[in-house]
Amino acid sequence: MTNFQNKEYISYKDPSSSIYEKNKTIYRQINKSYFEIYNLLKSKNVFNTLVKKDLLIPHTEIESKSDCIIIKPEKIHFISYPYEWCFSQLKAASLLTLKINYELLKLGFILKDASAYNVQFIGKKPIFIDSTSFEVYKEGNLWIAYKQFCEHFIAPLFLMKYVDSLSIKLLIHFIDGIPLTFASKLLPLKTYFKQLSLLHIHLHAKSIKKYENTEKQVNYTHLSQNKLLNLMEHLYEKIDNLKLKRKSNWTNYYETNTYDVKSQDEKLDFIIKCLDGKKFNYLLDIGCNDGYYSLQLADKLNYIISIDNDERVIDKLFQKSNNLNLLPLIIDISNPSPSIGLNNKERKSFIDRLESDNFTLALAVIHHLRFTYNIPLSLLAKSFSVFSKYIVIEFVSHDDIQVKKLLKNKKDVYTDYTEENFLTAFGQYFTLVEKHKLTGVNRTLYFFVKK
Amino acid sequence: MLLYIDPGSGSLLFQILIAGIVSVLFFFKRIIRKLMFWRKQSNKLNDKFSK
Repeated sequence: MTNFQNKEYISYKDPSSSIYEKNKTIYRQINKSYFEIYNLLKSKNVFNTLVKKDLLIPHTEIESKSDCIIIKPEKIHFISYPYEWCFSQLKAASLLTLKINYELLKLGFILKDASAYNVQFIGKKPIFIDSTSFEVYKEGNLWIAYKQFCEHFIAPLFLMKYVDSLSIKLLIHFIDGIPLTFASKLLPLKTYFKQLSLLHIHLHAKSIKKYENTEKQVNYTHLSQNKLLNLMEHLYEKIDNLKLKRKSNWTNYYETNTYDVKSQDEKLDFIIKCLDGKKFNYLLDIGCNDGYYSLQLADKLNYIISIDNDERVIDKLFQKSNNLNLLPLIIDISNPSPSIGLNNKERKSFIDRLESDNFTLALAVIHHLRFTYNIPLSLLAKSFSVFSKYIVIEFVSHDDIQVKKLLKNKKDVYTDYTEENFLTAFGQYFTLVEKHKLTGVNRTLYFFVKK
Repeated sequence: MLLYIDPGSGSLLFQILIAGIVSVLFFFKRIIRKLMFWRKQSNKLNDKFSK
């Protein structure tokens, strides 16, 4: 008998199934109340159809008992959350949700929820992970997840487009999606002239408000299948056309910063040398910027997580990359995503989701963390040691041009920022394996292994 | 149905209205597409859905 531990908080909402983790493997326990639908889905070949279309994560049934069925979904390298996604990732996840619903409707089923958390990314590819989100569709039924779809996808997409791309971070607070009445208040007047936002946010919010105190139960059977399919097509077409226009001052670090381009090949050679023969979980590229190194290394490695706190560069990297082993995410390493939800256990923090044996790349970031975020070197070394088995770190010296830029309006109180102190700080947690002084610049690459 | 999310009365009623409006728009759009058959765009939407 399978004995599960570590019952996860992530699936308590849906009575159909619960998620369990055992020996770092995820299982889904399907409860008796969902048996009838699950068996119907199986007999109608729905799972296989969706898997073949690359929409749903494949799973294998490993145990079938009288009170529960256990399925094992294929492993996802790294679980990410919507508030870590860029505009294009959220858009891709919303289109996937609509595609799944469209396919389901044709097969006689429908999505009973439209949570953004049901979508994960395998590198570039979005994939639906909740195999128990499906419900039998009867002619005339409404889509009960319509409001949730608007709150999880349409509202954040419009806030990102018309307010600021940083609006995605609102989802950290609104775990059940952004309330439409709130989104409607935040959005500028011009969104009243866009069909998608006028209908699905502004007027929708007014309708929610109007009927919020009604005691009358709404009859669910009022909509023909054809009308529902039209609604899906309309949403798909409109969301697909959404583009986030970047302002002209959007700059590409490596295109404008010739200073760094010179050292690119030298850095890459050093990293490749350090990677040789090492076994680790994944490469974590901190402050990845346009993802030059991640992209160059993608075909050599198992899985890469490229993080940066700038949504614009993450979006550009997501659009540029076609790799199924490169996952770009908006993460500020000085303030990574916290744990949220019930008991702060529903969605794990970024650090909790990272396993400890990674290969970390910290190129041209340490000076930002010290001078901009005021993090002492000793704390940086401690923090990196939590998730790094190996680390390649670029020490940018105090008299580097970039450091001078950072300090132009600031009093230089960072007398502790010396190469000697850097080595002492990292030496507490790591053993120095190799160093390489970059030609023509005041920068040195260090390769450490965790003690 | 095993409902655990609240679909919201306002949202459900609104959905009926919106799906109706959208369907009327699609009705005319499809006629226009059929009339403009030489532009080869009639299946664009379905192509997007069927992978």
